[in-house]
Amino acid sequence: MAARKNSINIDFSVFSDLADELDKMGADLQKIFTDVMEQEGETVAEDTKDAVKAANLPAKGIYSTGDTEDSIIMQPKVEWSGSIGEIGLGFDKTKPGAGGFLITGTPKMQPVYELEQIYGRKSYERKMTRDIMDHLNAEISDHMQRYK
Amino acid sequence: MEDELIELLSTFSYPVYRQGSFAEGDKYPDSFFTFWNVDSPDHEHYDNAEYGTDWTFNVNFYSTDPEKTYNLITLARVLLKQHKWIVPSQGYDVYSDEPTHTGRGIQALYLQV
Repeated sequence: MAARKNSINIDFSVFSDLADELDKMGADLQKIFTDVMEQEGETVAEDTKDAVKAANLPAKGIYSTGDTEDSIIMQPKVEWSGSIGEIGLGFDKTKPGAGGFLITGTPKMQPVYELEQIYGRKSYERKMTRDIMDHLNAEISDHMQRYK
Repeated sequence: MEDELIELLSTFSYPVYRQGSFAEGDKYPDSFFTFWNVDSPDHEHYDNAEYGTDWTFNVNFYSTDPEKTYNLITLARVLLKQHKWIVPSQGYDVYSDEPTHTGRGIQALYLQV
């Protein structure tokens, strides 16, 4: 996934054995990885939407206009350059009110804890890695069933 | 680790604060650092005991002088790398919450074993 600030970094090399296995079965790897990344992207979007609920925002969201929630990329799409797939996650910084400052905080405002759980913590990346692993294993099982 | 980070950043002779520690209405110094500990999970486990800690900090520099904002975060990156920190990017803009100040940030990682 895109390696920008406030992105989530997943090391896809850990899936190379599963990808090799799928490749040997003749699976469409690009389609499988597109599906898995877009599914994970939607999960991140839903978690981000929950995290920016008014109760979690500074001053319990009394200054919130809703722009931050509107700037969340809800249905991220993978873009491929050769064998490298990238997907935008979190806030669309081209939209007004994009909530990047809620992740980094400001001198007057601590970062929003619930967003840190998503964009700062290794535990969230580990959970995503496990989900992707499960998805790839399910694809292998499907192929084995289909061509048995 | 936090103390070591503050000590390193303090060598630039600008104040160092925890992110979010200014109250509404507080006047910012002309230039200053802030930091925030994002995460500090165990690095590995052996025999039911943790082995090492992966520290992740955000380090920001704010200034009324935009050139200084860029220069100091670059110098901080160099200094941290000299002291075995990993700083995986040249930095990014951060909001200062004051029109007088610009801000730049870096993520600083340290494996403590």
